[in-house]
Amino acid sequence: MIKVLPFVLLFYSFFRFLGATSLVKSDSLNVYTYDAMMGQSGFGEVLKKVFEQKTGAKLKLVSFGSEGEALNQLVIEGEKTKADILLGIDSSLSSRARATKLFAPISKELFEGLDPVADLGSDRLFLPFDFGYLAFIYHKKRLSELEVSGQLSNLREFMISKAPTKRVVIADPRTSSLGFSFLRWTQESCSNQKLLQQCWELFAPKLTTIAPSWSGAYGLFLQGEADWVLSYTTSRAYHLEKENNDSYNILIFKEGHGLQVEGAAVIKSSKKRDLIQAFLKLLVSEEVQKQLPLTQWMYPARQHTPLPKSFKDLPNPKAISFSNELSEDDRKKLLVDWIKWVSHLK
Amino acid sequence: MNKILFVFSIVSGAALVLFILPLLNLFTQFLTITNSLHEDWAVLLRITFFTCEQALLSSFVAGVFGCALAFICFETRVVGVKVIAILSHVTFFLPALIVALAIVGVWGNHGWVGKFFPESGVYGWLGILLGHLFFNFSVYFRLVGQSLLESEKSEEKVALSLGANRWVVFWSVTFQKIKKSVIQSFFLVFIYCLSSFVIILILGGGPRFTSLEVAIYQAIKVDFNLKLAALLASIQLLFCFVAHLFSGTASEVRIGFRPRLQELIYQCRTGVGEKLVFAVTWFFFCLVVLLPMIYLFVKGGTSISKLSPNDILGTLKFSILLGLKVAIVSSFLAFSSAYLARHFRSEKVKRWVSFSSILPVAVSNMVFGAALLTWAPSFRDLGSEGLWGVVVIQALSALPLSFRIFSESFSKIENEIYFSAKSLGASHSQLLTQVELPMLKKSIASSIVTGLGISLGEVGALLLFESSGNATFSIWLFRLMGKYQFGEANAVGVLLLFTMVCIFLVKESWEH
Repeated sequence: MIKVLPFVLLFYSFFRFLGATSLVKSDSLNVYTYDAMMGQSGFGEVLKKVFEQKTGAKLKLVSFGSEGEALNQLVIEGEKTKADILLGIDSSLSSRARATKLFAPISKELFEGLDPVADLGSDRLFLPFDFGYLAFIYHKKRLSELEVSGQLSNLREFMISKAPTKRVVIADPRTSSLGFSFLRWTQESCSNQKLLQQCWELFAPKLTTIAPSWSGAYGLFLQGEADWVLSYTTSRAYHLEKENNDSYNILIFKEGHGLQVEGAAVIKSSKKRDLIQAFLKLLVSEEVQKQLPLTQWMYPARQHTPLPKSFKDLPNPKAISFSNELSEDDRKKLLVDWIKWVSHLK
Repeated sequence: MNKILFVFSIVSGAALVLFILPLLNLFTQFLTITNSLHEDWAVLLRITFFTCEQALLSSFVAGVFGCALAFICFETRVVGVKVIAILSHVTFFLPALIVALAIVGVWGNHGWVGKFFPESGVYGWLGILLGHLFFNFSVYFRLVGQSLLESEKSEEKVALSLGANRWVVFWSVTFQKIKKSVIQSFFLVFIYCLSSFVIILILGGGPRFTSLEVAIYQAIKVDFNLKLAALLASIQLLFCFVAHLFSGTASEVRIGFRPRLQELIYQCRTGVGEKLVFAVTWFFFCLVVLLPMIYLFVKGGTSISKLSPNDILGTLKFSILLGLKVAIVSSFLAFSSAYLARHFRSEKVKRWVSFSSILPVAVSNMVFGAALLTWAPSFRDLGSEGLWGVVVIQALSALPLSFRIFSESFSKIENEIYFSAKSLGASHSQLLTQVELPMLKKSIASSIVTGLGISLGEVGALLLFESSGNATFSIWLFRLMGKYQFGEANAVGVLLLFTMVCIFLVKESWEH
């Protein structure tokens, strides 16, 4: 028996390769997305269930580590890709996605009724489906009202203030889209490069650490390692909704807050126009949009979508969207500069 | 050439091709278009320097701790050696993010220990060294421990009887015997630390601690700049290659603790001394290894009830099934290569087989995954939901360890046994099935456990290839963290730890 085992394994492998499940099925839609959408209570599952119920077609969610990796896969596959839709592309990736020329414009009527702040460009390549305001979260027991009010009214002042509470944790802009959006927000908040550099150099000593991802940063904050964490205003809603915990609060800047918008894009080479249209229509429908707050912990892009109470009570800050889209070279330069500014951490 | 040698040559050759071709494809991009790189070479140089610096320091610190622990455990009668041995297997396979958060829970500003030293701060060199120490001390513990267990003590006894004191005997006799395994462990740990990512980012505290792996991550996953990724991976590979040359290819790893009766030359002579050794050993073991694990248990234990039993069972089933596939493939490949290294007559071929089998240790899963996807994008569709991509990457990352296990065991089969079997008319296949396989039973178990362990703790390949939404414990843990459920994520970490300990216990009991 043992003699034939290697051959059995080889044959098994060979036939498994031959029997590889194909993504190409006429009555199915292939959606490339990122891993956080997956899992039992994920938005992906909600979407899949509703889509399959409504259309009778299969929705195949193909997940990647991040939205950037999903885009990379599309670049590798080019026009031969089996994907029909890219779901989850955000403002920090839109310029790179645009440059690939892999995406087709989306029909105008789908954008009707969407919140104007959820904007991913006028060329209609990306259909926004959710958005969130970047914000610093703190624990009421760790910081007094006085300390918080001393943090002043805009991001620039928060970064350079000499307040006694120093410990902040953020996500790394090189490895996290939240981190990069924050860097862009600081760029918008500081009117020129010199001021931006000054802000970051003064902010750097306040950073406890810079985590590779949002989850790393938020985990450290919950462990008490930092007084402030870079997250979203909706983080408070999570603690209210799931833990009935009112202790986590948001520092609101009068000037406004950086905005992160997520969208869906249609692959130009896909032939399944009807299914794609049905999917996108469903994605921005109220039925699906109302599921977003408690699955993605983001605001639905459709205006007047009913929100859970925990979301209704959240402050509604002014949105700072990033006015000019960065070219790839500018993006790289910004990151290289950022490394220099924060490399003098204590 | 006998038939078995031929089949195993084909298998090993195919694995090598599958490993080399994607990498060559990636590297040719860099070789052909290097002049289009607009990178800041000074930054790159600084990153390279830091990567080597932290790897050297981490290897040294892990070496001091691991060797001391191995010496105390195997040369004296410290209570609880078996617990230390089992836990030291587990640390190596845990996901880095959960370990980093557990270390912060102990050593951070508000940590169990850290709060008593508010000024020192874990972020920076201390955090990097602690993180790498947690992961890598076990390499020294196992390699050096095995050498200590297997060395005869007659020379030490002679030296002692001639009046030399125990320090002199240690440095001039015992250390000489274990020197080779210390050096091998050092370079092995150095190679692992070269590709460190999460530990450096979280515990380092900021971009002044940027390693090559962080730059590769950015190049592959964010910028999709494969030319730069290939350049950085080449630098990393070069260092690994040099480290590998220094460490030599001889293998001495055997996973598992097998105490045997031996004279304990270095045993304390007084009861007080013994108690002191026991206290010091456990104190440091607790600080570095046990406390982070206990932290994980405390934080996660209470949340286990929040996890649905169906989810736990489903994840356990998927994790074990995937792990078994990885273990079978990696063990088969490793066995084939070790068989070739044992039976080929040419020393040159033997050296090449050994070298190519441990080559995957020098390439991180992220680089290999990107290379594989660029070389053959359709690889993601092979098998059920891209599972073959995961199996290939995880099996290749388990291959070096499994190969060491098998080649060590092959080298212990004495030539006389082969001569006797052949003189009795045994064919090559009879030699394999009736002599070698029975003698390698324990190594097969060790290799399977290694493959399982690597698969259970690995995340990168799954995120890159597995597309169905199925989750292993590690992926489930990351998904929960992404949804604010940190308590539940810790609970999954506890389950992962528990599963690994169970697997090692089953293996141990089977071996005995």
